[in-house]
Amino acid sequence: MSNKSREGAPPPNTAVTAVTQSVSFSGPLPPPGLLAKYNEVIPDGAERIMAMAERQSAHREALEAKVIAGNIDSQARGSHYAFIICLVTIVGGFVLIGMGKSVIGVSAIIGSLATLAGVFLVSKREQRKERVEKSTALEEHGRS
Amino acid sequence: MSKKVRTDFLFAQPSLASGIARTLDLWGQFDEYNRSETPDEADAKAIASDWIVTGQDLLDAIEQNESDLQAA
Repeated sequence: MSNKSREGAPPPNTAVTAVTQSVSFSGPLPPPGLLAKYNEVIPDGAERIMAMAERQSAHREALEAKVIAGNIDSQARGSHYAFIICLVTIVGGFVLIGMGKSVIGVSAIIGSLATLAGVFLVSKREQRKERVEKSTALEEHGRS
Repeated sequence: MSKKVRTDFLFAQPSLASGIARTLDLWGQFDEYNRSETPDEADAKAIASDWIVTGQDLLDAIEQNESDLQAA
C-alpha cells in the first residue's frame, strides 16, 4: 500500500519548476520572428515576402497617385460643367423674365442656385465624414 | 483588425460633386483638413501612418504568401 501511494509522487529532493513564457510584440510592422519562420518553411521565404511587400507598396503608391490625379481632374470637370450649366440656366432665366415669363425665369435662377447650394452642403458633409473616418482609423490603429 | 489606415488621412478625396460644390465656394469655405494641435503631433501622425501602411503591405504580402503555400 505504501509503495503504491508513492508511484505518482516525485522522488525526494527533486524540484519541480513550471515556466510560462509570454511574448508580445507591438508596432506597425509584423514581428521579425514571423518573417524568420518563413525561411524555415520555404527557401528565401522572408526575402520573397519582402519583395512582395515592396511590389505591393509600389503598386499602392502608383494606384494612389492615379486615383488622386483622376479625382482632381473629375473635380475640375465638375466645376466647369456646373459653371456652364448654371450660367446657361441663369442667363436663360433672365431671358425668360425679359420675355415676360417671370415665374419660370425666377424659378430657373433660384432652382439652379438652390441645386448648387444643396450639392455644396451634401458634398461638404460627405467630405467631413470621410476625413473623420480616416482620422479615427489612424487613432484606433495607434491604440491597438 | 481595425479599419485600414490610409496615407491620405489629412484630406478627403476630391470628386465630381466637390467640383460642382466649388462653383459656389467663392470665399474658400469648402476645403477642410484633419488638423493637429501642434506641428510635432502632425509629424508624428504622418510618420505613423506611413509606417502603418507599410506594415499593412507587409502583412498583406505574408497573407498572400500563406494562401499561395496552401494552394500549392
